Amino acid sequence: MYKGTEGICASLIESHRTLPILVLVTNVGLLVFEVNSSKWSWVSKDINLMEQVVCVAISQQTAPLRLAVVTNDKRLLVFENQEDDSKDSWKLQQTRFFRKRPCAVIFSCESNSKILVADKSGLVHVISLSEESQSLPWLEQRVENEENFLSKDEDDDSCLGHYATIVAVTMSMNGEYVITGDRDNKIRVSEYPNTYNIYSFCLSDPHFFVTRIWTCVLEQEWLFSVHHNGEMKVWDWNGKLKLRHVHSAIGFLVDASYHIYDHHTVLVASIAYSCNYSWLWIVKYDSLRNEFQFKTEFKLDLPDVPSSVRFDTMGQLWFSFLKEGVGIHKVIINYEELLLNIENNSVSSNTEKNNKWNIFQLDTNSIPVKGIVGSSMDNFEAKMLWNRPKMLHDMRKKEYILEWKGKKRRTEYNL
Amino acid sequence: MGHFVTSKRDFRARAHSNPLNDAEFLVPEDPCSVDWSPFIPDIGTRSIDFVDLGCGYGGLLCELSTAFPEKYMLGMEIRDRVASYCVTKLEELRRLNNGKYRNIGFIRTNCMKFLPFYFPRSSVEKFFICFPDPHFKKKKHRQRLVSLRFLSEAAYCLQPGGMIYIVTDVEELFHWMNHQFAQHPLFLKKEQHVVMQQDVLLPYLLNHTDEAQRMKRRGQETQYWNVFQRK
Repeated sequence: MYKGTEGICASLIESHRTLPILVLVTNVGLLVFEVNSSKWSWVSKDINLMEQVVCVAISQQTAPLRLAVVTNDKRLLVFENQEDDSKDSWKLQQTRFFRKRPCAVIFSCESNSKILVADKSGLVHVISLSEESQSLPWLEQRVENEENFLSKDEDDDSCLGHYATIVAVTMSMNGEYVITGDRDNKIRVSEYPNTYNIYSFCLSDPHFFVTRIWTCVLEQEWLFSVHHNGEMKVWDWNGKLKLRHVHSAIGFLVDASYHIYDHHTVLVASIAYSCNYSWLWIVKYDSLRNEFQFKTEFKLDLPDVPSSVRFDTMGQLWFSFLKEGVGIHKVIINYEELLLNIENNSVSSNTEKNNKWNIFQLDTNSIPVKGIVGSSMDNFEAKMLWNRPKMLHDMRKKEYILEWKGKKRRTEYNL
Repeated sequence: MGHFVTSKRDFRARAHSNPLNDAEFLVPEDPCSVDWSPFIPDIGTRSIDFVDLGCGYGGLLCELSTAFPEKYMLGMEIRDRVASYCVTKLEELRRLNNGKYRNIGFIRTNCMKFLPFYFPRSSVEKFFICFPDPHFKKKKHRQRLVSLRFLSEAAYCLQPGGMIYIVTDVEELFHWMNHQFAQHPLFLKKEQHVVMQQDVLLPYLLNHTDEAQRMKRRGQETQYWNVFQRK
């Protein structure tokens, strides 16, 4: 246990789709950061909770702004922003327990928004926010259900199911479709709220599965999927592959994010690491008359294992490391220069020069941490390293099955 | 017709297989451009009409092949030895009967997990689910083939108006499957007496599967069956 501000590290960054707001899961608590005004507000200071966080989501509606957190100990916590006289305060609105460990969470786009929680067994649960006092009766109901074998397979609140662990969930911009990706590399586009009606499947080699899915509107709405072997795929809504771009020799892709520059250009930033190196990758794609094209890419060596990357709505790139001293970084991307550099084939020299003034370490002193007890750094780091590389380990295990020759191989990976 | 060399005795297999296993299957990447001709020689570019999910030793498809020569059928089986029995038996049948049995094929795959990898949207006419693994234990219920998540995927592959036939000899499983179909909003149960009178496939399903013939030999009579139509 220690006091102070030096040791802040963020394990997860999440950005809002339309507002310049970032949510940071750090070792001192859950923070909301307004990019414009550099204002911090605390959501939770529960460090035991922070060690367990798997995924964070922000609601689309702004009034009230809500945050949902799913944790490793099978909980869903919903926080609500209450703006009373200029002071932002966040209140825990709802807690819910699950039988299986949740993996992903997202808010639906309806006016009365609901939370979709995907769990390890491949089910997606729909949880409505209005029923506040439901937690206890719900538990009793569950016990009754155990008796009745018929309703045991799928729970009442589940809306769709996969056979493998769901890795990524997202919703289309208009809220009409839910897109879920699982470890069999099945990306399922189902209608919402009638999720039993499958619109299409985006299928590719089941060997390399998805790490993140998102939709973005350029000339029309496209579906992006990023796979853990460094593949980047663009699909149309009928499940037809429009573009497949492989980052060669990328190791394991951990996280990715996108920024729409104008109606034709999208930038995708991804972070990947392997035993020897870790990279930040920024790729630019163009869409012209419904055809997708790869334009330019730009690679940056990182000093340490990265954990999360996000663009905010202003087009600034934020990424974080698990190490204490390295902290959260911000890259302000100068698009013209980036593109120029790459087009002139002088990537390495120029970008290095640029990097020196383009990357900023976030000023952690501005975070009001007076009197806050953070968790011990070692402990926290151990937990965080356990969270994500465990997932990578599972991925690799799946990869090893291909070479499996009848004997179980237990291999220790150096991560 | 000569003697069969292929015998089930040479292909002893375990009765159960875990469909939720992470084992690797080589599945086609794009269901719209699958080349079926190595499995079904006559198919050309047409799509598959009937699919037997968990075909077992493949007796049903071999019967249907001669009865409906203009339909194209595929059997899917997860147990490797059983699937290889199907393939060798089919090769032998083709050799002995010149020009016949060229509209069916068998593949080894996990039809529970990888169904949409094989069939594009609304392409299949009929699915047969005959004598699926009952998985009696409560813990194993999630390995049963018919579940809500499976039905959504099957409905995606079926044509509008396509049918799913279920046949089983286990009452508990039959109720389970009926319950799952009833919960799913895309399926309608067909009246049994109507199906009895009109359906030409039903007698084959009730009398010509391997399991049904085994039941007959043992003197068991009760078969549970139902037909569901996709809306």
